Amino acid sequence: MLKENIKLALFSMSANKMRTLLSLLGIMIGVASVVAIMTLGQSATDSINESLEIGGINMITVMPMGSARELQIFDETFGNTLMRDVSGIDSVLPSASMSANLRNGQETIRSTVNGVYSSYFDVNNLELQDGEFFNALDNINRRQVVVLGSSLAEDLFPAGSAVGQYISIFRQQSKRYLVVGVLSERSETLGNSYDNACFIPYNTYNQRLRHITMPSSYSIMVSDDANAVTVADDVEASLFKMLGDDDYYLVYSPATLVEMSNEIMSTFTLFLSCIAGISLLVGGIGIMNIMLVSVVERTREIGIRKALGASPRTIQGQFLVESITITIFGGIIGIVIGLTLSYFTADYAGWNISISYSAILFALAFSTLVGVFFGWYPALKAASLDPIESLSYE
Amino acid sequence: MVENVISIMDLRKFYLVGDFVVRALDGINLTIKRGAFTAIMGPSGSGKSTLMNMIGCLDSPTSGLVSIDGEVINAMDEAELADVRNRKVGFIFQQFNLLPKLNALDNVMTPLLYSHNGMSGKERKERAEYLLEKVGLKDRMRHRPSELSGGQKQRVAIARALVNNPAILLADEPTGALDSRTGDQIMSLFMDLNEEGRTIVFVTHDRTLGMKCRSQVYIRDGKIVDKDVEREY
Ligand SMILES: Nc1ncnc2c1ncn2[C@@H]1O[C@H](COP(=O)(O)OP(=O)(O)O)[C@@H](O)[C@H]1O
Ligand SMILES: [Mg+2]
Repeated sequence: MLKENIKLALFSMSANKMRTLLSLLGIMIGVASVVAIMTLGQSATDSINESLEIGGINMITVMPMGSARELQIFDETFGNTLMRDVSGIDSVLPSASMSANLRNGQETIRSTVNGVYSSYFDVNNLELQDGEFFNALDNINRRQVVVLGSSLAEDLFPAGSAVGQYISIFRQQSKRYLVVGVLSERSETLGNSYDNACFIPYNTYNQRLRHITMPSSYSIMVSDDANAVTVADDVEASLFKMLGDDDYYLVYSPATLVEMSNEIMSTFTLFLSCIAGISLLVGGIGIMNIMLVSVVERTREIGIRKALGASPRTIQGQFLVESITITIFGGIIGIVIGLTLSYFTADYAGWNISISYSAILFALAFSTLVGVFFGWYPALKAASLDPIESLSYE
Repeated sequence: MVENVISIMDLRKFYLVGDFVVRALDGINLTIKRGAFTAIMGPSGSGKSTLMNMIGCLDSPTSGLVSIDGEVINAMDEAELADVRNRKVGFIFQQFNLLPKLNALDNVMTPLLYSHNGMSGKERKERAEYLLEKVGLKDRMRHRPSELSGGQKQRVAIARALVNNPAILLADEPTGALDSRTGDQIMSLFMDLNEEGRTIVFVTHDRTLGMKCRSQVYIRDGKIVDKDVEREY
């Protein structure tokens, strides 16, 4: 029976192709926009989060903003002070940075030199393409070793491998540093470019390059069992308490940004989905309209079917199946359009497309529901037609 | 098996038209035996179609008793009436009433879709094919009604009426829309079916056709005026 009903539905759909298509427009547009919005929202969130999480979701960066004289809390004791004040912190690593000229033979390049502890690499999820990181001993002994960012290494050593070679770093006087490692290429996180920078041990920096009066930033490693968003909030509160003004520091927390972007995206998606939902509703009314017309047009058919023994329920079933078939058909077209649209938009924006299966399922379920809801009344009307009157309907 | 396929007692059907009560049927008593071939005759407006609709369970009476093949239909709801219609009655209309979008085969199969007899799709198709062959349309099964002549359409309708092996065939002026030669062919098809034992109620206002049936009932103003004997009217 269901098979016959679907066949009948397809019959009457193909008999009035143009009309079917027009009445489907609302559903199609509605479903297409729901699918596109949810898919694009998901894709955008995913790629934003991905770029935020690249530097490590458990890492918080604190940057002092001001002179060492104003900000006396940022001395050697800052790490311990912070860890005492805020729970959930594994370590606080200061780092310093400055601009300097680097040279290898004829090549001179201006770059950022960072003085960092050896665990900095781990904390920031940095990886090597060659050589190794310097270690704690290198730091204690203030060895003149350097790890190069990938493009910096290429610029300084166009001919080939940098590891094991020496470069000069200029700061009033030239000093030779042994290249011990080269970083893998890394897409840029907000503000941080690793590819063009180089890294030397913190103590080497302090002793041989420039005396560090105040670190330029702190990398805070959050414990595995702590929530990075909460820790970031606590760090901010603690800094505010110590400094009394939020102009004196910057806290950068990927976890907080991820949470914010998720929140913004889901609000945005919800809002747009509401609009799309309205167009689905309008589409449903279009379906109801076309079904009512169809019932009137097919009064005689209904009369004949009743004379042949179709019960009211059977007739209602036939028309319900028809409206559901129409709306699911519209839904499928809408999904295809929505996905195509998302594909090109995501491609244009440079996002990886994350197909939202829940959106597709939702769209299908919703079209079925629209079919049932808006087909119900017309089907009931068809079912309650009087057989004798219907048979004599011209 | 019930001997009387149709028993009607004091059947009345009134319509309210404005302030008037139209007595379409006004006290009909009638029994039709299994295997009968009865003509219901009478002038236009006498209540023939209304009586057919009652027997065919398309409508329920104002008062009186109607029993079809042992089932009293008075107290039935729409779904039960539909079921009786489907199993016990085969309709043949003046205007054929085929479903225009379906081919002959699908038209004949349609009543089988509404009966809960557990037939498979294949069995339904075979049954419909058998009946189309029986009415001489073996080579027209895939034709739609618009591609068939009037006589062929009525043959499809007869095959469809037979498909559920009903207790009665109800034909309401089945030759009314056909030329006399085609009408005669259809009439002889009915006569063959009756020879095979099929019970047929045949409504007509054509006297010569009515006389070909084995018994006649004359109605006028919703009342039976005579049975089996021809009268001038
Ligand atoms: N639905 C209806 N409403 C009002 N009057 C009706 C209706 N159906 C039939 N009638 C009346 O009942 C009478 C019998 O009609 P009908 O059975 O169609 O006659 P016949 O088939 O013998 O020509 C007629 O007077 C007709 O006008
Ligand atoms: Mg009539």
